[in-house]
Amino acid sequence: MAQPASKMHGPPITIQVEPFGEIEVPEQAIFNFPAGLPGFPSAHRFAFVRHQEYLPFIWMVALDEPDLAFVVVEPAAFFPKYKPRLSPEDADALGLSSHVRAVLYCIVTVPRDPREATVNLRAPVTLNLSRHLGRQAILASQDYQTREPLFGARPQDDSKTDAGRPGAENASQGRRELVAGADAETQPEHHHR
Amino acid sequence: MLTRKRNQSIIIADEIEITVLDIRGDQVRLGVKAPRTVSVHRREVYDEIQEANREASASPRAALEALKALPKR
Repeated sequence: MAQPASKMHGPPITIQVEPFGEIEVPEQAIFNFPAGLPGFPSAHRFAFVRHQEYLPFIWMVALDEPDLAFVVVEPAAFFPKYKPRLSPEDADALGLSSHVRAVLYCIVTVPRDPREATVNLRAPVTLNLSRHLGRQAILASQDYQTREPLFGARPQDDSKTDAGRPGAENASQGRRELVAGADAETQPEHHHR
Repeated sequence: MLTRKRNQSIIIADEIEITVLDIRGDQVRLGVKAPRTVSVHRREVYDEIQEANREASASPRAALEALKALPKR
């Protein structure tokens, strides 16, 4: 009998994640960041929680560091022309190629007035779904800002961001799901070279 | 502090190598060899990203709720 491609069959982790309460995080929903994040070099494992009430904002939570979390968005929802070119080092570190594409999430910074929220387009959190790998890629191009105003553009219709999500885990949770990796060839979400 | 000429290197922790590839006027071109788990960036860009990450992670829960409370268009 053929074995599945993925050997990740460890038990799911249960974490308390406010404001969502207790969440079970299966292995496929854990992304490994070997290099951590700039400023957080020891934060190696993250999960991404999408909840209907909070969309288009997604919760990126560290699994090993208490209280470390970020609000992220899919950049295409706000910036349809955002097509960053990853450096060869970042593409290589993530195992990306013309066949394996990246999923991007950009970190949001919210000042006192949330209408002045900014998003980091200069350093997208970049995921390889099939390898459960992540990295914050710092783009060489100076075309994109670390603090790009988020509400200069309007978000797209929320229903579009949910269509075709790979690996929608926890379907029984209804309004909440974890972004999960795929065992087989990943569904391409964005193409970046 | 180490002094290097063109084409000379330094090696850090057995696995990171920095080579002076070229020197032209006040500009030095450096080559870096490092494992995938080690990220390498220009200092000022890295500092900016680090700072943005720290700011973004300062009170994420409040940030999420504030964003949720914004009227959807």
